[in-house]
Amino acid sequence: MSDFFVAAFTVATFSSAVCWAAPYLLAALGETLSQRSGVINVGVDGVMLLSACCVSWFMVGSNNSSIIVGVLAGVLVGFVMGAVHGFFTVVLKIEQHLVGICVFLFGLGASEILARYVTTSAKSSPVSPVSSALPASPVLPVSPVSPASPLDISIPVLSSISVIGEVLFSHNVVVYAAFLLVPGIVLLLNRTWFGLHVRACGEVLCLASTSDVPVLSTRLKAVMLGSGMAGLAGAALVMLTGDWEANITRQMGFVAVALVSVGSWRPLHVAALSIFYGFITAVIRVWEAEGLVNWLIFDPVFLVTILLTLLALVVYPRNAKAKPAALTSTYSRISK
Amino acid sequence: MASSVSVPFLQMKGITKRFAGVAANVSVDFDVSVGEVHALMGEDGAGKSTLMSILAGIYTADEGEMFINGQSRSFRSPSEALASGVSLLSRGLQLVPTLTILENIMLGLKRRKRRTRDRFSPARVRRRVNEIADTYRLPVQLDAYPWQVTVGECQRVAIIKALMRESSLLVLDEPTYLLTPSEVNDLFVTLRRVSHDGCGIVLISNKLHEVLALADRITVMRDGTITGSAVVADSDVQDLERIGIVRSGGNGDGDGYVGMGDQPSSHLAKLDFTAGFAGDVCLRVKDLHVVGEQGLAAVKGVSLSVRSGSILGVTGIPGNGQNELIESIVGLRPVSSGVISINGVDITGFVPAQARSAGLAFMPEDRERHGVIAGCSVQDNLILHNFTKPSLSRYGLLRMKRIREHCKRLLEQHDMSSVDLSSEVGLLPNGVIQKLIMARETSETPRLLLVSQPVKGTQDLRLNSAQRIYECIRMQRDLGAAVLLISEDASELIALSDNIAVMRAGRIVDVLTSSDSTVEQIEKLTAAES
Repeated sequence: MSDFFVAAFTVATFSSAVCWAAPYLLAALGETLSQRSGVINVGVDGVMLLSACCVSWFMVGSNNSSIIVGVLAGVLVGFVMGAVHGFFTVVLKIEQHLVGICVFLFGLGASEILARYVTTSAKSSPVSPVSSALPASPVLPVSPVSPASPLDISIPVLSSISVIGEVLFSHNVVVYAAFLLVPGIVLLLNRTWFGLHVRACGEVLCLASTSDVPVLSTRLKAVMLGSGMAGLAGAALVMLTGDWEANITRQMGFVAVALVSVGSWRPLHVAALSIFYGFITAVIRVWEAEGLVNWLIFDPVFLVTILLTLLALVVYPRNAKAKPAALTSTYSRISK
Repeated sequence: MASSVSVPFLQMKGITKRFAGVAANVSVDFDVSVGEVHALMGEDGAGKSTLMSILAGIYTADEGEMFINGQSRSFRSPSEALASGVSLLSRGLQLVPTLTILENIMLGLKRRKRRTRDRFSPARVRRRVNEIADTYRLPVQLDAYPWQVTVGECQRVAIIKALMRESSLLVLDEPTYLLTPSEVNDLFVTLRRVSHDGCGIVLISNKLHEVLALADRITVMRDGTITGSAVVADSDVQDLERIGIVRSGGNGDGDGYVGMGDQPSSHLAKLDFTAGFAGDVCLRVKDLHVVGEQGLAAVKGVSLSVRSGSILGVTGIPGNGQNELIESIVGLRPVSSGVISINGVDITGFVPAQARSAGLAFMPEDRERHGVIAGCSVQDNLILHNFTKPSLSRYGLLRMKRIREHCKRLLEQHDMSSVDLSSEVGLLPNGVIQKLIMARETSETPRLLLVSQPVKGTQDLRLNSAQRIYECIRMQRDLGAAVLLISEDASELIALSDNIAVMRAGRIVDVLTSSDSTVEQIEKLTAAES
């Protein structure tokens, strides 16, 4: 038992926890933004998969400097898929959950196909989507294995502080971005016109008849931004594992969607939960690497995070009023 | 408040609007000058709201032209109307519940096209709001949330929003609808000042004394057309009679409703007051405490009893706990403490179905949500509570023939034979829906009948439904039911009920005998500051 404990609380684990928190943070905060505007995107996981696949193509395919292009491509994939989701849900007013499921399935399928053609890595034998749902738990590296890429930046001075330096200030740019986006999203929601409009659109839909709030464009922008952040989350994931693999997300996107409601749609709560999930994931990875956990069939990360999320949905203190009242409802100009 | 200006700010000419073939406006001409208060009167369904919705860009007119400052305009959306300076303050004032008052005011201040001026600055908006609030006497708490403030304050917020946008025309749809008398006075002071500063005002109202106090000009609508118009300053009673505001030989006190064949007051006139026979106590409520929508105490220790064969009226300004009281008796809202019993049977904490089997029937205020299933047919709605009875179903199968006969009989009993059993309830007029609910609720001879706002919003048809509803409530009483009647209309309560309980801030502050109380007395009691 003490082995488990010792392994969980090492500097390396904490450093890895910060890395693992990044994809959760990006995906969950993006989804928070989208849901606060009244649009739920259940397909976050699909966005992450497709973006991760694109990023890995740039990573593996050529030299390391194209990683920057890769990350940008990942975000672009997110924007495009967000635009598609927004077009169907906001403009065509189709049921949000259904469109979300389609986005997920598209991301899942497209990433598999893409991976089959572009990945040169020997690891990526063609896998059918069915078998990818329950992957045979490849042991993942605890911390990034790829050689120093141009995006890895140790912050001067701060990173040389013992422990704290390694845990907090020796990561890649995407990780820093994820953490900077926590105050970023809070400010965006509370200190800008866009944020004010987002909060209003999530609550009352017939607003446009009394106020001058552009409901459609606000929602569309929020969905695209949120999805773009999911794209960045995919990039963070690939940079963490070093390479593409089937079902790389382990349904992390769905967990992120759930974290938004567990955290009562409040960015700071969602961020805290994301960091906690990052820690849990890192600890399990460490245990796996040290051979402490070896469940043959189930991927422990997938299993634990899903069960934990179900538990959290039940026990986490909820605020019934926090749910955006107009979440999933469609907007039409004349409402009686 | 001069109204003789060469080009009116707003001119609407020949406006016609049809909904599914039914004309709501037929070639209506309407205009408002700069700084003028123009009252628009007429019964419900006369087309006032449609006309104003066209003005505010919510609907587009089928025919006709609109001129703002002499320029032809046609608004395709509310934001276009707002940009031209037209602000509509609808009756259901809309504030976003999760935003503070300040944030609500800021909403819509961003002009989409002029980007440079729109720095997001709550502090600057706060300063500007305070200036406006001082100038026009519109006190508001900027950091409160909408649910923490009164209806009157929400309305002041809406006016501030309109003034912040530098509107040139305010359209107020029944602004005094939910206000206390002192709030009405303050509102009028504000509106006079606003119009004095050059802003045109359209006042939709049916209260003649309010209109005469504020308006420069009155226009009356009926059945989608304008029946007449008069300048207030130089018209006398005959002019008002001519345009249909005052009924000839009318009640002379200058008050009352406008051209109202269908208003409650006229129906009430036909009812003579008769006292109930008052049997044993049926409904008994003891020290009831109920938590309201926002987690605050809504009913604070109410005790009351209603005898079989009598009607207890409960009145108060909306939001003083009447709704929560009735909802907790029905079983829609949990009781924090206290006891509710029917004929000695404790029904505290019962769910609605259980309360029903104890002999309770309920005619709710929100008919579409709590009274009927709007998407279902008339027949389905009529058997909602008793389709499991052996006479209507057997072995889990509905006996369609019997159900049809049962429903037909119910409709005949209530003079509604013309209603088709298969038509969708949500598409019927409000008055018919209320009569359907009434038919269903009284089909089982309830021991306790709870009625909330029985004729509110039912003046939309010529079926004389208000009259029928009153008579039916009476009849249930005479059959031995205890009736709890919630209403905002004091004259209705005086005519119908035996006793009247006045609620204020979740407590019953007084119980009057209806035979020796007056409308003024009741209104004074409901509005008194606690």
